[in-house]
Amino acid sequence: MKQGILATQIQNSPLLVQKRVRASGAKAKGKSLLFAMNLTTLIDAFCILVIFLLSNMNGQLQNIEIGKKTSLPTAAATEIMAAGIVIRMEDNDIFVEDKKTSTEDIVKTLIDLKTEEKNSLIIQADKDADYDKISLILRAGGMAGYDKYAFAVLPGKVAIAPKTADAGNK
Amino acid sequence: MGLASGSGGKKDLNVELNLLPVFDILSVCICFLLMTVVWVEVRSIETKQAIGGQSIEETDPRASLWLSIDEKNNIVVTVKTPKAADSSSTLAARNGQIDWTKAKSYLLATTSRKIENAHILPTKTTKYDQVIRLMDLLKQNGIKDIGLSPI
Repeated sequence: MKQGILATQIQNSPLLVQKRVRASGAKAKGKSLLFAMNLTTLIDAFCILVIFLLSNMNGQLQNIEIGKKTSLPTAAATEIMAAGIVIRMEDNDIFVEDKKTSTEDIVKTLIDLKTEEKNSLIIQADKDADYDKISLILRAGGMAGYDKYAFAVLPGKVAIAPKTADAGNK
Repeated sequence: MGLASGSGGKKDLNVELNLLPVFDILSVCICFLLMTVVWVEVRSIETKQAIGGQSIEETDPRASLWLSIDEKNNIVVTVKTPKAADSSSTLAARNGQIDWTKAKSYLLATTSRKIENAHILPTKTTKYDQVIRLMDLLKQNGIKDIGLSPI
């Protein structure tokens, strides 16, 4: 019977070739340096890693990019961010869905971007920004027909009494 | 041990499973998951526009809390009830900042009145961080609907 193509393709593994290598010395005489790496334990570890990473993928629907100059405020009673139009404020610039927009064009841009799925605004601003800038977005959103607003925050607890204030009272 | 039947003669039925493709798949999986993982989780505080969007008929008739922050960071809290007179009190600022301890204890006291609505009226100079902290405090005290009024 003819040998199949697959049978001729069989090659010895590099580990098998190494079988000829022998340990030197009197004690080690006759012992092979060959060791078979057990991949099963490695696969076990990989499986655990995959499960851990999959469980860490929480139901965050929208992953927004935080501006380099922006430090978001912190809040404890937060919710998972739903899909929406992202408005980012950096210094005096306003970015709607990562596109720089002038204050005059915000309403028009927001009307154009409004869909049935994306009918809320996600506002991302620096924690030290004055409220009049936020108010500008709220008014523009109201004019464009948005009534739900989500303020992007970092989850965490905020100390009720600031340290400086406590020090001043003592 | 089992022997393979047929014309092939003696063949070992023990099969050594090749784990390398599994290893490859898992490696690709890990790479993909590591690339897509969200290291800095951003969450949100939701609100709706408080004033201007609705008619008188649509206005919620339940009791509500109105918190107006002035330029010196004093908070004037007004409790508006539909069938009673409004009551208001001022939470004075401490060191030019909102007195969070006082605000927290005041809101804890109002929780017993089962108020579920609140409206925040900041000024132009109010810091965004303080508005968020106030909203957070209200949410922590069981107030579900928080409105924010534009200037």
